[in-house]
Amino acid sequence: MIRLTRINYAYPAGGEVLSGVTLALGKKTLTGLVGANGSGKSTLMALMAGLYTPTGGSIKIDGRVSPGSEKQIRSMCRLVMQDADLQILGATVEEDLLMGHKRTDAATNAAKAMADRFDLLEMWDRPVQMLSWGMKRKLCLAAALLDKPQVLLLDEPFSGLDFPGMREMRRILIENKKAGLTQVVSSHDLECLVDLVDDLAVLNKGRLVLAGPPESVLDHVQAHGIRPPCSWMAGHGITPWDDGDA
Amino acid sequence: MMQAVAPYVRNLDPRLKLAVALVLGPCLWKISVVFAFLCALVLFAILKPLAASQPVGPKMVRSLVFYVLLWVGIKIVLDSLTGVPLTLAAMAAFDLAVRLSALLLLGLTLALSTSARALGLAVAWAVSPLVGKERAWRLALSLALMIHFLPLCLSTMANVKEMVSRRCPGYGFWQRLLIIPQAVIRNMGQKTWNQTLAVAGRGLEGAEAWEPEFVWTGHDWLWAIVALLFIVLMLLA
Repeated sequence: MIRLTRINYAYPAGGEVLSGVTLALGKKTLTGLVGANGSGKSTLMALMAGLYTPTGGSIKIDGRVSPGSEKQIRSMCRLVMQDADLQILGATVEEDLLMGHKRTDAATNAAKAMADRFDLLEMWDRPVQMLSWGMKRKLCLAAALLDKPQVLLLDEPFSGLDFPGMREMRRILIENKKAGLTQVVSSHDLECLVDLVDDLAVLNKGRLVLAGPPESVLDHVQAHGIRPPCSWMAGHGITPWDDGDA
Repeated sequence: MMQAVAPYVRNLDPRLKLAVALVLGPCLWKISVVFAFLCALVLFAILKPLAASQPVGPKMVRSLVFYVLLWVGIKIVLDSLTGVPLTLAAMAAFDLAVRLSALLLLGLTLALSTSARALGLAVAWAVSPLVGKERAWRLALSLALMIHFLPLCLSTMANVKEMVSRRCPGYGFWQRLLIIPQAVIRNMGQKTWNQTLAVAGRGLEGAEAWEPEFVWTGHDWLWAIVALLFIVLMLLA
């Protein structure tokens, strides 16, 4: 589904952020993109979303290649960034969800169904400023899913969420996985993510240093600034983070 | 009754609200002060329920009152300094207060009853025949982002001010004056870049995402005629 070949990227201001990243991600998989702060996770996500063009190498997503086809890639992928306030452009939940869609009965019903799935239907007419941080994050996610992307890219989706919020985010990831969506989730913390992912890709200072199923990489992540999950360090392998998961 | 006003005003066509604001705004400086006062009262009655349902609404109204008082104070002082008798200076200041309040209430009513996107689309709809569809959607996006950024700027400014007062409690006015604008600009610079990515990431960087879908109803006709009649009558009186 996604193939990165020797990706290099440097911001116009200078300084290479990513160098020689080669990675293949399968269709309908959930991949964890992990790394310490400043390792290049967000930049790689933006590249996969078609928002940046690689300065070297190429990205192929379902046949579309960047450099060249960024616009088509953008129509296939949805990136949910960390700062919800910047992504929410509508004044109400309704307006934000319907942004970019023709306001037909079918679109409105689909948006309402999505709002219902994310427990946002009660807030349908409310100003977005009245939503909590967790609700804003859910609204961004709902808006992204409403566009029916082939690839969903979530940049640090667990950051700033409380325990119920994290449980809900996990539930959403599991549902998306069951629905066959290809997902890439970036995080600097493996604890609440590792039992859900099919594969892990570890970045360190802009280089891909480890990739593969969690069981094959967890013994080596500590050397790259990532703390293995508690269960792994205690010798229990990968255990479910939450018993309530479906 | 009052609670029903807010959703009713919000549901009116944004093109009507924008047109009324654009026509009535300049007229507020031409009509008699009595009519301007009447307009201010009507606008305040509409604004009150609109502001009540917005978290920043009451704060905006308080800022408006402060702004009016500031300019009224400046006018009285300047008039007095140039030798205008106090009675006349007070009357002129009252005149200014009424017209300025009405104008600001008009702007606030528009801002609180119409979303940034709807306003952007209304402007784009109006200028589309002149500038073409391709430029019109860019204008709609720019305007929507500009309006969307105003509360973000205010909240960034408030956060920076609070942070400076906590981290540097000993700093005086001039030191704060140097630090706060720099920090706000730095913060906003990062936000504008991320905002651009967010717009592109949501697929909103194309004409198809900014096609106006306005529905002009009987209520819009009614209020368009009422507003037009009132404006003409006030100008002729």
